[in-house]
Amino acid sequence: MKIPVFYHYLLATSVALALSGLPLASAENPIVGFNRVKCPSKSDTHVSVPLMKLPIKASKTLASAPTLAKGQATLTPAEATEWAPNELQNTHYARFTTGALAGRWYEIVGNTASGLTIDLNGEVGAAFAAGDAFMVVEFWTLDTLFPPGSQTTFHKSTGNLVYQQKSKLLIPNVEAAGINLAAKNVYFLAEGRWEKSGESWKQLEEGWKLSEPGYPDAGSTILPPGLPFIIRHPAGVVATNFEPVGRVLRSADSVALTQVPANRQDNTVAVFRPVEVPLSNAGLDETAFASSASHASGARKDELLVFDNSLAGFNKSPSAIFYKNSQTWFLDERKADSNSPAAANTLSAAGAVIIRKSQGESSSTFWNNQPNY
Amino acid sequence: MSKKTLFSLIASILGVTGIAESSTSKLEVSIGGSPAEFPEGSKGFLIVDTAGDGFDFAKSPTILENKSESAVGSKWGDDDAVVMAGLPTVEFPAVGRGFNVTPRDVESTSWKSGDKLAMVWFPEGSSGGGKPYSYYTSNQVESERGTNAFEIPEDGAVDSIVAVGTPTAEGTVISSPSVTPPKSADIPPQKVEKKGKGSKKSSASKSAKAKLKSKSIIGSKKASASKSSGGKKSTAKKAKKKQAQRGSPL
Repeated sequence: MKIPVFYHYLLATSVALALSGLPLASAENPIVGFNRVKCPSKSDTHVSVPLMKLPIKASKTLASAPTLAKGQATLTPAEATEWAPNELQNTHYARFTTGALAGRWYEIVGNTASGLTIDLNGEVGAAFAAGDAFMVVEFWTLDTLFPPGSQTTFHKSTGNLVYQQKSKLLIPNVEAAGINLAAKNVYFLAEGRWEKSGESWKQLEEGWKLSEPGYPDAGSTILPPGLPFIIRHPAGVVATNFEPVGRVLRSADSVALTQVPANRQDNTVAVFRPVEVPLSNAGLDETAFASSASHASGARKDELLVFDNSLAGFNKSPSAIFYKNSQTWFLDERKADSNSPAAANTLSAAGAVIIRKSQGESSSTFWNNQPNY
Repeated sequence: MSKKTLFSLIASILGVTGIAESSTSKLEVSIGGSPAEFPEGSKGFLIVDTAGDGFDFAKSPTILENKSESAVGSKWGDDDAVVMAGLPTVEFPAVGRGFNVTPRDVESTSWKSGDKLAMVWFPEGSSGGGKPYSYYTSNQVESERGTNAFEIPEDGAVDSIVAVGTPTAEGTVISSPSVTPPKSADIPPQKVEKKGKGSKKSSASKSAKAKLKSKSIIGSKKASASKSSGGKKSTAKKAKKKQAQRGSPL
């Protein structure tokens, strides 16, 4: 089965090299690109943003191994910096592009003129070393990815009530234990309007809202790198495009996957690539994705669930489930011994997947993916 | 707390307790119409028919006595349960008034996906003593803003049940802008067979039933396969069929 392809384009001077698959000279040679995903009416569209927000704030290297304390690391760049105190706090992250932790990103929780403090996401942080390169990147937010005044992806809601809402953005629940987890939060873009309050009228500005009591403003909601989400269009609206523009990641990507001892665990994730990624080249090795002992469903270990955005519908079931047997990819066709090989299948650009980890020891592993462009 | 830290915590908890594999689903609701039918101060309850045999209160309104203080999970009759409790009305601009619930977890071991839902409300804010009640359910996606019929969502789903209409000259209470409004004529309650429970009604209950002034409204649409779940299976065909047999609005 062929996983549907999103339209993707790479812009900038190195576009030809990128599309030809030829290696590019160095990580300093930036590629700016955009993806286009069609979002049909009366449907959920599973997407991610495989591009970093522009402009990149800084590209630095570690002058020395960081100071570690209380789950945080203080980084000192070898190069000169000109940051205002805490100007990067909770709005930017550090993405490592070389070294043992290449591909991982960490939220910046504070900064001085010459250094950064990052949250280690529960990691030890001992693998950082002098010379490791990292970029300082601003998080996407709802307001920056979908500016209320200019975005064209979402149909604006005429009010806050459920029946007044049009397009919605559903953020997956990546914190709860279990499988088949419903979205954690629902957001919508409210249009500017006048609303009666008692005997008077008040003007409400357009903007992102969280669909919960009180409908708090949500424009500053951060969309962490690699976090997929769902664009839900109701019936009776025209299809739109989701078309993020940003910097292409040309180094490793590293995605945390969680396994728990009691049950299977869904990990809703995306690979940070604006192009299709073949399963055989996805980097889902045995450490990140356990092979099943046989093709029988009862012997199943880890599974990869993908979604087909060309099929309209709400709350879609996965369009295909893949697994590995003896480190070879197969499509689950519910056969005990003759499922089809699937190594040639690809993960969609700017798509979303669920990696359903089998029951096992409590652990976090990393899916390390290298660019194929 | 970071994702990894939280996962580690969850993992350690699960490791100790060994609870069953879990999933979640959410439901959001907008049901409203004319202010006459949704008076300010009305109190709403979303009720699930867990047995698929029709709503008990529709067959025996006496069970609604003193139900206006029910909590989530409490039983109404033999096998109906409260999914959402004590909902207040809110103003519905250009429509009137109604009940509006933002996405809310509805996972429970007491009911399952596909079980039929109905919104019941007490226009005077309390039940019993001959006070009126109203209810509404539907087998169809009532509005283009809705994703689901009046059913418990599938595992992992976020569903919207939306039935909002403007009052018409005929006095329609609830309708979907996209479908023919149900008539609001006072039609006697439909008889629904309830296997194994048919002989339970006593003369006392009949008397209490007469005290309750039923003002119920129920959708007249036939069951359809219009659920837009992108291939998700329906687990409530049987229940849908029964609901479809109910016919005209009450």
